Amino acid sequence: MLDKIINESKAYYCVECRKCSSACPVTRVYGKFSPASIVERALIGIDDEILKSLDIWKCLSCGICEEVCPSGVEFLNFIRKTRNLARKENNVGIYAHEGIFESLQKLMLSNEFNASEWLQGLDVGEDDTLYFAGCLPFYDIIFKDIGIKSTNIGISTIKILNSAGIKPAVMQLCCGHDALWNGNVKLFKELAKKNVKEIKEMKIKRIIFSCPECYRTFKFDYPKLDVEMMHISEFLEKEEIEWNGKEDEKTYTYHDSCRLGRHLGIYDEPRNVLKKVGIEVKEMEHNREMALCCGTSAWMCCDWKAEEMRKERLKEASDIADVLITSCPKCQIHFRCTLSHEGHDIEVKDFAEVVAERIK
Amino acid sequence: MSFEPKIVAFLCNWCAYAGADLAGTSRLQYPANIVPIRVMCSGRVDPEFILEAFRKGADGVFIGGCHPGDCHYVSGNYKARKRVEMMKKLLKEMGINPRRLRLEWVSATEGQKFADVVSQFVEEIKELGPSPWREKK
Repeated sequence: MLDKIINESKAYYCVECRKCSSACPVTRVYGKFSPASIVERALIGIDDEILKSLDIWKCLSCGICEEVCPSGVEFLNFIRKTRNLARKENNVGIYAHEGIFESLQKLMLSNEFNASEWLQGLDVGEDDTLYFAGCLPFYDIIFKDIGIKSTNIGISTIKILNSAGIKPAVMQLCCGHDALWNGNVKLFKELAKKNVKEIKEMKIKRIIFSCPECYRTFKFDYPKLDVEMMHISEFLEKEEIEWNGKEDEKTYTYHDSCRLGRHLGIYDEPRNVLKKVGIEVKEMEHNREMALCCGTSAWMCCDWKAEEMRKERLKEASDIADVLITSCPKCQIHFRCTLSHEGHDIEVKDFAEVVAERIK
Repeated sequence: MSFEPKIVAFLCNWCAYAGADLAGTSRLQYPANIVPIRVMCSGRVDPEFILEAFRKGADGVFIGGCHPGDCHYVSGNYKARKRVEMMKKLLKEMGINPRRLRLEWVSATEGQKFADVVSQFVEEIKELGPSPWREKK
């Protein structure tokens, strides 16, 4: 069963060096999990065991294993397709937040939502540029308890675009990223179809993302769209922006989210933009390609292991800085969650929020 | 034909379900529009249950739990209360009238109250009309 997946992901190149396991953030806190052993078991041919195990759901798909692999095994590809297969065998991982996000995705598929309260008073809706906001407004409600205001990211992004003279159209739909990484390819394809159809009808030329997950999904997993796509940091780097001179005593550090960093290779753009608005980024011990993870992806398997990873990351950040800048709304949610019950002396802010505050 | 709503009712085993039983054994009349589902505690009602009920075409969702302080599991109903508060906002955002979701405290002795709140809720849903998600499923 796994033969096809092994071929497609070049898993047969594995030389069993176990570099991936030594770099894997899950293995750091939970020694029983090892990407190498999953690949080895697949190569030996005990498919059943893999398809029935919970191990395949513990992977964060953060991509650090691919960075260190000397043989070019596409582990992310491997795990994603294996999950799809495991789902057919009724092996579904443990959803965090009681699976509310999958229900939301299914609902988004069949219904029109009108979550426009947060857009009031903003300049939107005239240009050939689209701002794809994703699921931001729903996070606000679900994570109210830990003080999440994800729509602030959206508002900041729109303000940045406004100051560059763009009045973007706004779209709020799930891109299907979570469904895809949870092996629910059917749901992903339907969501993708809906999004592509809507975007084609809109006749736009450029899509701007603030969420790295949406960007990644549009860039690599969607059928080809004839539009320019960019992350807000890429947009800002090309644009001439002026710093409004606001300064503070705080020190800043930047957390590379796995999707924006390792998946898309965007490391320098956010740092350059932050430099332009007068922020000197102090680098944490693990940065860029080797950045540690926020502990959960696609709302799957959030448990003590994820918590340990977050604590480690937050400690690393709070040792050198006062503000941790993230670029992914989910990283922000996860860190804030840990901060709500762990005392680390650090503030978590989104990239777009920080830039919007300091732009002319 | 007049509109007959479909309402899914999640009733807690210790209070609301017993209350519904009492309403039945006391021969109190209430509309037959509700489909009761027994759960061990109102705190067991995941947000997903509510969303799934609406997705599959329910016009309203009713959650019955023990009075505050009476929960068999100490704090389940407080969790339900918080969750319903969150769900109402979420439903509003998604274009569903938050009045379609209702949480009521019904104890095991309150057969009359159960009949009353259910009739009242059914009336309210009839007034609101069919759920916008009903045909689409």
